[in-house]
Amino acid sequence: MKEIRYDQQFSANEWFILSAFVIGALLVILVPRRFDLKTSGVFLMCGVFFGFFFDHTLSVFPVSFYRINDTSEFETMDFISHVVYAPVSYFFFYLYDLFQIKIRNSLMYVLAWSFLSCGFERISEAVGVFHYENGYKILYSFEIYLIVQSLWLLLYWAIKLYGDRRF
Amino acid sequence: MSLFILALMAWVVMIVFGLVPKGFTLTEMVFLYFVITILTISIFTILDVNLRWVPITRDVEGSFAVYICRFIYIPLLVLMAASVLRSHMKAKSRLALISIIILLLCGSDRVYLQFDLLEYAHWNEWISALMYGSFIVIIGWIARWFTGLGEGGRKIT
Repeated sequence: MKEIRYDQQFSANEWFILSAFVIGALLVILVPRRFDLKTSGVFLMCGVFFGFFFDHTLSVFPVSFYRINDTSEFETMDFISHVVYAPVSYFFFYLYDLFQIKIRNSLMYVLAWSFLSCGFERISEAVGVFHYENGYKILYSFEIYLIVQSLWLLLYWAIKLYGDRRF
Repeated sequence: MSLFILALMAWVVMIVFGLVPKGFTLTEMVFLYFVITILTISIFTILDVNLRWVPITRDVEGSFAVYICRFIYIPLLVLMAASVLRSHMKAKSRLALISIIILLLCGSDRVYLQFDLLEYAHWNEWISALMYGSFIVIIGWIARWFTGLGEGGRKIT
């Protein structure tokens, strides 16, 4: 497979990822704890998992719809860029729980977060974290956010109802 | 054909996973599934894209077959292995079960090779078995750490 290289320097995309990582981590640490440690662990890992899932299916093969960061290889900064999703998913669950959003309003909550996520992705693309290819557009990501964040709500309710059940 | 075989294998693993007692809570299982999958994806990607030791096919059917293995087959088997590691069975029984799981994981590698889903450029089955064994041990440690985590904070009710 041919290696693609966009940039070789420590530039805007790396600064953006590191800043987002630090700000996200600080926010998670500073806000009053709302869930027990295990649940917090799941809610943090949820974002990382879905980041990996899509960035290693949509951006790899059979068709690569986008590339991440400076090269087509898997780099440390790519890993950190996935970890940045952790605070995103954590605050998705945190605010949902904080505001005690009812099931009938959940789709509106998902819609708001999908717009927010698209905004975040748009900035990421502008600074060079994502490089779209093969006709991929941010509008396609919007649908993915709608689906993924709806799945997150299912996970929230599953953990809430059966989280402590031993299988 | 590869997709059919891999889907069938994954389905059988899912059936077994549903039947056997895991000894984990749902929260623990979800966390471990996330961790195992993230590590599996990272290892596969590094071996394929970065090192080119185990190049993976780029054709559509093969790609989906590989996704099935990355997201269902390997994670569920490793999760079951982690559950065996923290069970109260005798050491010999645990060792036997872990060996069977490693054999199943290595057996799936044989299937990928058979269908040209991947090739061993700088790799062989022994390294594969060693990698799966180490992976299970690491996940066993993570499982032990995570299940022992304190209950600080509020439960969602």
